[in-house]
Amino acid sequence: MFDHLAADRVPLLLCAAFAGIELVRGLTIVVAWTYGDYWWSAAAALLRGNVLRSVLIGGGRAPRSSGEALARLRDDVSTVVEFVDESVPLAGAALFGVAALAIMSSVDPVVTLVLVLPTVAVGLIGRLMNRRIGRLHRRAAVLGAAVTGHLGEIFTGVQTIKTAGAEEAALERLRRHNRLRREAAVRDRLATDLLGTATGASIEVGIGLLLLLAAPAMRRGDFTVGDLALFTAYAGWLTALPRTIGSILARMPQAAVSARRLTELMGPGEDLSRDGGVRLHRDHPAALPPARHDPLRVLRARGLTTARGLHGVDLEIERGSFTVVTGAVGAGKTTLVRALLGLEPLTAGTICWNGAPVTDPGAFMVPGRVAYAGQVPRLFSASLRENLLLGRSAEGLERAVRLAAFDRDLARMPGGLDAVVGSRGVRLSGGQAQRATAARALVRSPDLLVVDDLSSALDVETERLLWERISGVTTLLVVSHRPAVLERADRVVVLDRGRVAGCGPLAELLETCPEMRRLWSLGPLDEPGSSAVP
Amino acid sequence: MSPVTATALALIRFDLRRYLVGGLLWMPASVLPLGGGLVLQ
Repeated sequence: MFDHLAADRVPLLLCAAFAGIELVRGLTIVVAWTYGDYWWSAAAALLRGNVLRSVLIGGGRAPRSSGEALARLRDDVSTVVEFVDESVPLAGAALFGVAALAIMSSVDPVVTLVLVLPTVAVGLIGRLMNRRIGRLHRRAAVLGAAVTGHLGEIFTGVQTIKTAGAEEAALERLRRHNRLRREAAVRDRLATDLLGTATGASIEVGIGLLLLLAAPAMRRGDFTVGDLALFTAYAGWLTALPRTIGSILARMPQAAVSARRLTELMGPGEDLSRDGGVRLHRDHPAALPPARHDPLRVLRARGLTTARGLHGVDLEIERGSFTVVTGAVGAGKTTLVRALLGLEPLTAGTICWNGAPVTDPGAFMVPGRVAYAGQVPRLFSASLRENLLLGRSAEGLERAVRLAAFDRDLARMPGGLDAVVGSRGVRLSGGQAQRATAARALVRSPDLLVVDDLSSALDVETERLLWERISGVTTLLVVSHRPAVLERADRVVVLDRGRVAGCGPLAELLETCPEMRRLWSLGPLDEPGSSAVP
Repeated sequence: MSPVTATALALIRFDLRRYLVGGLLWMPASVLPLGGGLVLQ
């Protein structure tokens, strides 16, 4: 264009062509960016899904705090996916680089070489800095997770901090964590930005050298104004290739750290990037068929063994029975019920439902067959009704509330089932939260109801009422050391360091099982009801 | 092969079609400036 400019007319056609090319380019970028989001989301969902699957039902390790979980599942996943995402425009940038260098070399190879050299130098420096950037990023990630983790602990333990008068100590600890995080984050950012700035500066240096070299050639007439326009236009775009490569290289150590942090959450032998299927918008899987109705007659477990302290445990639960698992702290009571429910991976042992082997307890022991009320009641910031139903129909809700001995509390509660509970609503007492959890399990009309230390926060009268109401309604497997529960059980399974120390009715065990006698003598004797048993 | 390279390759393979189409869509965005430079010349 510049070489054909006439003094008396404006080259409208060439101006329109130039503007048209830029317009098409802008539109293409919008389309490419929008489409790229699908790949980005699918890849991030795959990593998050695999980590969550491993933590929830595999052999993975849960993060130490909710803050750490957020840091790993949000930030580390983003870092890994963005690293791969950087490579998407690499082919286009490479194609441009090769073609532009060929065109420029055909005009003036020496000027072309001088224009490219600073960028190559910066690329080499970036490669050398990679290890140091990796170290800085690793430290920044660890210290950042410490801050979010400590913040989470402060919020969850605010009552403890206030009652201990430890506000200033908690804040000082947070300040200390934050000071370390800030220093590490600044260093990490500085190193990454230095590399980016050096890449940008290499263009300016290249253009400066281009002008110095082109000036004499232009005087001689070997280098036209059009050539200068071409070189200047390409100089900026030429950096796309080293910038993309530089960005990939700069992100690589960060991505390696993040990939390692995510892998740490996975169980042994589990693959972080295993293709377990990801469903995106308008791509829903078909709904699972409802569990085949095969009412429980007998549940048998043989030789249950886990990596976390269960050694060859046998268990038999008959329909309508009341089985209690008891033992000292750390005996494996919760691990046993979690293993039965598929929440804890088994390293050995079999589970049979009515004689048929259960190959995947996590998928089989689900509502319809089994309901579980865990040790720590979990309530969401929603109405009590929503908390109990969790998306189910309201059929049987009133019955479940009554069976869980929660009806009297509910009648006194403003708003009843519509009262908002949880972190942003009415705070339920420990006992109320436990019975709400029981009602949530009971509304699912399970064949087998598994409850873990359900009545630990209940007064004697409420506890008696609860067990009186749910006994005989369904088959019960209960973890407890409470006398009122042990006395009511058809069968007590005594665990000692992950092994069955005794099994039978309480009265029989108190005669034959030393561990049961030891446990009975430790604490329950002073609780009402204990005198009923010899 | 380092774990991050293995993870990166697995992510690319996992949804290869979208990854390749994404790369192809970026191609004109990268190559069109060639035409712009020639027009300027």
